[in-house]
Amino acid sequence: MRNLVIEPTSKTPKVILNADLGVFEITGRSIPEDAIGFYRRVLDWIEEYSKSPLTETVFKFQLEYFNTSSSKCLLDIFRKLERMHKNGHKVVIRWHYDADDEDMAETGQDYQALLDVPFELVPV
Amino acid sequence: MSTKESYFAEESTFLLEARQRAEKGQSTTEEWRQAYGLLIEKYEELLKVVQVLTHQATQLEAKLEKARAQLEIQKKALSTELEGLERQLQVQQKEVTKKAQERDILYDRMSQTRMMLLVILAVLLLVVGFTMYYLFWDTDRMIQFVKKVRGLE
Repeated sequence: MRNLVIEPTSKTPKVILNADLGVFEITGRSIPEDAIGFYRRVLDWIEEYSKSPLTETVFKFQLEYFNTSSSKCLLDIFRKLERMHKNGHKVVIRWHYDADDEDMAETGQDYQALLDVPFELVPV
Repeated sequence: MSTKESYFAEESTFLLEARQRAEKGQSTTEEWRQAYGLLIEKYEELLKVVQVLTHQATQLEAKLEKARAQLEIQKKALSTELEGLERQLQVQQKEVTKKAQERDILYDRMSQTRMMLLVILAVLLLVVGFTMYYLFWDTDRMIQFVKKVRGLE
């Protein structure tokens, strides 16, 4: 399957979805006006990937700032990963956040409480 | 589907299906029970999502408010600094004007002095010229003049 790499902009994060190397990352800031338009490609890629995933999928999220609509899209991504987990695949979500950023830690905790999938909080 | 709806596409689709089922109204009690259970499940899920999003939106608003307050403080500080700089500039402008006036006065005096020096030089040249003339070309008259001055004649 083709890898998906989206370079970051001032409003959108960097996305690396590389099934060959087993690298799944979304990093940076996410404040696009059309979040659904931006994340649709990501969601479609994960949907396709979930049909035959690797033995273990570790998805790294390291966002410094994101708007509410991006948050909903992130939840949609988490739901897809949760579905993969429920289907018996090994999935780990790693939520990296700035150790000084209490809000981002709290956001990670919110997601963690909402999801039924291994969700690790990683202060950096 | 509008942008707002597309963020909740799955939920909208489920709601539409539930409405169609309710309008049809041909289900058995067991089917109704199952559908109602599913509806509760989806509603709970949606409620949790709404709670998370509301919480995050509140956090973001607080961050924005904090940033706005900081900007306001910086704006005031910059404004004060600007006022100070403007005052300094006015003082410096006054000083420059004063110096310029002083320079003009000095130029005037220099000009006057130069003119005076020129006049003195001209007079000196005239005196020296006359002296030279009488000394080398009209010596007799010079001797008579000196004698006259000394009272010898």
